[in-house]
Amino acid sequence: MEDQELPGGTDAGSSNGAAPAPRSGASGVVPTIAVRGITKHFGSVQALRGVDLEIYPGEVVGLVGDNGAGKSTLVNIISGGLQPNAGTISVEGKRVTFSSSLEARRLGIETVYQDLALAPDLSVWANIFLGRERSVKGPLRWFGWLDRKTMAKEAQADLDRTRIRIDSVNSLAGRLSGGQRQAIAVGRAVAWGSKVVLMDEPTAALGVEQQERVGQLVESVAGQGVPVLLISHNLPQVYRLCKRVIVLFQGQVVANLQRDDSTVDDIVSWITGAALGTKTP
Amino acid sequence: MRMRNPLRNRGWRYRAAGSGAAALLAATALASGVTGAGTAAASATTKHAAPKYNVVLIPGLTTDPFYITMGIGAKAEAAKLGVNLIWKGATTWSTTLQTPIVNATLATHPSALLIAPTDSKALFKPIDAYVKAGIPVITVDTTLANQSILAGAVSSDNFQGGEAAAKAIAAAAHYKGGVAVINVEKGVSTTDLRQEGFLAQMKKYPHMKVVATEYDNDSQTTAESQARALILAHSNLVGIFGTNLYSAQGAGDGVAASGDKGKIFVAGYDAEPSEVKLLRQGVINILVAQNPAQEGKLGVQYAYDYLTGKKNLIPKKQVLLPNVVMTTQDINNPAIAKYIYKTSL
Amino acid sequence: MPVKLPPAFSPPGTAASPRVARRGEERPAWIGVVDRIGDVWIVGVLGLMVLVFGLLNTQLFTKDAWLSISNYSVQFLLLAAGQLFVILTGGIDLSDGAILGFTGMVSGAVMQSMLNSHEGNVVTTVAGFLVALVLGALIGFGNGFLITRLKLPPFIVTLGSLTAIGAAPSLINGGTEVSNLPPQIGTIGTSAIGGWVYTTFLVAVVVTVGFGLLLHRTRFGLRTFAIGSNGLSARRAGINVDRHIVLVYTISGLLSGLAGMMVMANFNVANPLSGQNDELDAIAAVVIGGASLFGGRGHMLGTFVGTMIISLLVTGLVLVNVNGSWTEVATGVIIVAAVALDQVRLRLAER
Repeated sequence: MEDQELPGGTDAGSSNGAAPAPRSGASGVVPTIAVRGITKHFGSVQALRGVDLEIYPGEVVGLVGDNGAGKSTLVNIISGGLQPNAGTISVEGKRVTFSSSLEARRLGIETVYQDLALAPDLSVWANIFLGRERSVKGPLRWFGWLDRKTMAKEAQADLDRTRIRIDSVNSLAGRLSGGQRQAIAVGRAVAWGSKVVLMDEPTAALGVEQQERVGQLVESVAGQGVPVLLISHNLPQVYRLCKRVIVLFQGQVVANLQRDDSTVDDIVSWITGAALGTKTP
Repeated sequence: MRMRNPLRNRGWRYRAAGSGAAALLAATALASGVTGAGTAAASATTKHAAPKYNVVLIPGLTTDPFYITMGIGAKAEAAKLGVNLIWKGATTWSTTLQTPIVNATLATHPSALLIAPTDSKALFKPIDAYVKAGIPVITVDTTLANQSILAGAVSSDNFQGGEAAAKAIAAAAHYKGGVAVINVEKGVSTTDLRQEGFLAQMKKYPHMKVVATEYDNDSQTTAESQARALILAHSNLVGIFGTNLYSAQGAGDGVAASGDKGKIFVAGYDAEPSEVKLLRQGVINILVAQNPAQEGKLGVQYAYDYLTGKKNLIPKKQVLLPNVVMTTQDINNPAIAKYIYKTSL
Repeated sequence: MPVKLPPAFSPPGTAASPRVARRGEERPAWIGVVDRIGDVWIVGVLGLMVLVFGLLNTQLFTKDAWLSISNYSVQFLLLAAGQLFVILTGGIDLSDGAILGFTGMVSGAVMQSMLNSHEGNVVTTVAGFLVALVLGALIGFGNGFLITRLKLPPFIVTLGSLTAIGAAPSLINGGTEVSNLPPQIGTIGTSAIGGWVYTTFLVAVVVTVGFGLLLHRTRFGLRTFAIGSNGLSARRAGINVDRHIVLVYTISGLLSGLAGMMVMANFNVANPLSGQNDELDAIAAVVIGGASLFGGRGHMLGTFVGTMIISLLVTGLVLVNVNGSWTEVATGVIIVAAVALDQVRLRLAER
């Protein structure tokens, strides 16, 4: 992929090895994403109070919490849409700062937004390549002449890889079903998300069968070694897909649960704060 | 095909809202008769040191050759009568720009006001304020819907202008063939009167027929296309009457582009320099010119008559001046050329 | 129920969420056919109109009729091409007709004064074109700048430009026409290649094709669609949406300036009322051509056909001897029919 240069503010190795390895994570492996001490306030409202978080290669991590716990703020910060008041983000051990979501994307951090962020009037391939269009070679390149054939072919290949079936990548995105559009958004994120894919409520608008399909997508992404951070209210789904679940409560990480050691009820009690009375995170 | 954008109505091309054709004969008579009387009175009064009168002339807009020519006529007459003429107004045809000028000028207490109101109703109140302050007001070109407060009103006879265009086309075409009208848009009193005059006159010629009436919405491009289509649709076409500047120029261009210059006669209205240029080239064959200089002159004269106590000399009805016909053949004749509108005061 | 206004009425970036297709995995095959017909049905309307007018008066099939129609279409092709770019981003440019008139007058006045100081005809002509193009682009740039920097609705900004620039020609050359122009200008306007194609029409067609390729074949065009289709996702995709919108309005202004020169060439005179109300015809052509005022959807070929429909109406209705006022009635009916049919088509397609 082109445009791999790092934006300004990168310096190497500051958090390397500093992260406490989670029990299931491979010890000594560098986290794909490491977040340290992130705080964010909007005026007098403290949205995040020193959040630490790591995501390791090939993991599917759930991020859960009640409304207002700070999930969206955290995702927006990791995807470059918001800038934290304090704290650091590292990608594969290199400290980075993003001033826009574009810079985060250039480092391989892709986000599937709740609204999918698709242009309904553009074809499937155009949606996948928007902002990173391929030009033909030769003098027409100067005019930004699109290499439609290559883009269509690559888009088809990207969707095939994630086992998404679309009749034609030339169809307009707005003409597809909700599940197919979801699949394109995920497919696009996977195609470009060389490091990590963030998914914000990817199944909120879907029927049961299509939720299943997205679940398979998530697993196939992780199977290619790209970790996924899944933000969802759908606890059974989170429990099914994620080996590890991080719970946010009032802007802090209160639990980092291994699925194998916990039940859905455990997660619920952390989300509501009930567990805080008996355990200390 | 033109749609009218209500946000962009540059109505100044439709000036001279004459109130009707009824006073045609009377007006013609008055125009000559009263002119004589007024001039006589004027030359009598200038000899003794007359009181200095300040007469203000507010045209529809100050940049238009029609009004500039009116201003020239008014200035000349004012100089003759020893009256001080003040010319002021907005550079565009706009009621919102004209009204404050009218209001502000009242504070200078002029002796009389000559005005071409940009709206026949909206300007009533500002003008009435003058009348209430004892200042006589005479409208020139356009006028008010309610003329009762005015000391006088002068305009052009649009019906007669239409008739004159019909006569000129008929004569050029030897009184036979089809003719068409390209008008501006429906519901504009001045151009509608021109069209009515044209149609009425054409009825008098047994071998002539009006084959179509089109509306170009004041677009030269549309007028040109309509003229070209009219030529295709009516093989017997011998003349087109464009009822204003752009209708006429568009029609002339259309006839020329179709290669029918000299075969189909184009009559236009007004005598703006660009039209006269086309007249000289034979693209337009006939121009019906108004007489704005005379309008200005009469306006000043009536104001003077009013101020010097000769109110009985001012006609009660709106005075409608006849128009002047110019052709390609006689445009270089000084007696005709003097009616070409001027571009600077 | 609140009425949903096109984004042209709201500041850029605040537009409502994009349309979403109804769910359902399968669509009957015949809808696909309707879908495909949809893109070309307007060509059929044009063909039908030619047929009807032509049967009623065979003069329509003459060279003279073609020359008249193509000559009329020149300024609207240029304005509509620019307008299409703007409408695709969800905006609107009400000022393009005013820019046409203003740039023509300024260019005419510049050329007149150059001739008065004995500059050569060719130099003067070139300078006249440059003045009109640069001035048009600058005004368009100003529109785009105000829309993106001050976050003002395009409707308001270009309405302001329409009002201000629409009045400006009356301040140039005393508000009267400029007819002292180099002879080259008149030659451009009256010369017809092979007797069939006016130079001005050729210019308009070449420009339309060029900008059509820019729109449908290049990155710039794709991003124009993307911005109108879903501005937020375009932003997230890393597109500099504000800069793009400024460029789109600049294009519209540039083409308006070129249209100003073409109109001037046609009449061999710079006319202060040129372009008056043209913006509505340009918008009508774009809409008849299948573009959505909500942005994201439209086609240069459709715009071209829409322009030719509008141009054909003027000549066609005169040829069949329909009274002038009916031209506007017919155009109104066609606009509403075009949009209504398009809506039906979309609803079918989204099933």
